[in-house]
Amino acid sequence: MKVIFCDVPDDGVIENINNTLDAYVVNACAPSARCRGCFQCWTKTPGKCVINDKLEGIGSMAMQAEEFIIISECVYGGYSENIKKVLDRCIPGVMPFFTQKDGQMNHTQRFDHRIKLKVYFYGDDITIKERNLAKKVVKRNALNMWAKESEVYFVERQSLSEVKL
Amino acid sequence: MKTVFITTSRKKHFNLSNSTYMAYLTGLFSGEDCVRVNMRSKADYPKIIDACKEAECIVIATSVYVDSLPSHVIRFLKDIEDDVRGIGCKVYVVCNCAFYEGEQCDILLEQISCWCERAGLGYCGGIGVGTGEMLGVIRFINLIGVPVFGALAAFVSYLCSGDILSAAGLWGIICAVSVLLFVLWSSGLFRCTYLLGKAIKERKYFGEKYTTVSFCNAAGFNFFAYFFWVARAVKNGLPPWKFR
Repeated sequence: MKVIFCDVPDDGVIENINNTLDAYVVNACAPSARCRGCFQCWTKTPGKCVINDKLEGIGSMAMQAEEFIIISECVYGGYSENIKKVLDRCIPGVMPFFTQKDGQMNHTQRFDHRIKLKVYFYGDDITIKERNLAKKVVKRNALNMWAKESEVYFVERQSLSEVKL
Repeated sequence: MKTVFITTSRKKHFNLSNSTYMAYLTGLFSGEDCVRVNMRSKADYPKIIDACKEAECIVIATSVYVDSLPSHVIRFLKDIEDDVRGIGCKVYVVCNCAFYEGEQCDILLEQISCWCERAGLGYCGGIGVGTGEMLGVIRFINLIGVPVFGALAAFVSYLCSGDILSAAGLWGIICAVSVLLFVLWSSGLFRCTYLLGKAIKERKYFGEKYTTVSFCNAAGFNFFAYFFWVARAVKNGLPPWKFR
């Protein structure tokens, strides 16, 4: 199954995704709580957020997906506020411990599965600096999520519904 | 003209947060006219915007969440972008991450740089501090926990020996070693916050400087981190074999 985070406020795009894919879709524009940084998802309820809402298990679900797809407006070279809010709730998907990988420290894996990470950034005036930074963000995320591969795409807002996920 | 420190911790006791601690240290060296404002919700925006309009420098103190800016800080920067356009401030950043390498704060610093370009502000750099959680923990352990434990040990020593001088001496040695270790381990942090504070005071471009816990390599950090998380879990009633 694919797990998709999408922050497009147009419900038509979400509905289109829901209808065409075997996917669990998270509408990041829907109200949800932010990560509190309490780390209880590591030290009290491993793999699950203590905030009892529809995102409590999203971290573990995303890290066990066949593909983890993010569709986000590119804001300052990174994810939009709504996507980041949901992504911040995904830290239960990794362990709190550290290991050295490719010359830097990363969190250890919680699950043996390795995901494929695909990120679609949209926006009408993304600068070259922001574009390069966005690629760096995804590469760093892929390292920490232990993704087997990652892909980054930049699309225009009005072309989103035509993108083949 | 003043310097405004914007702390962005959402922790309940924000004055205990690591990014706020680092902002405080930087503020010690930044000159006299410094103001700190905390950004926890949209209700804080008006006072922050007013403070920024009267400021010559803005210092944003935040932490890395999932490799980049936390969501509430992204919202804050987007919401105030138009309000701060044209005020011509210099912007500095103090940030920390949980990993050993302070260099893993680079993405966050670059995001603030992108925001500055869009908001017409002058990005002047900042510091990225690794092992943020550890540097916060040693504040309490070395400056409070160990002296308290040392006092108990000295008291037991006095009860056994009846010699108050040697008990006091024991306590003194324990405290001195603890404080020395605190200073040694935090020396990189102190140096960077001093240099950044000096650059803020002189209104100069600083660039990016990264640091981490000193006199402790990555393997040592890993060792301490392992026991830190195990201790926290055991405190929450979770045995280590249930971590996964």
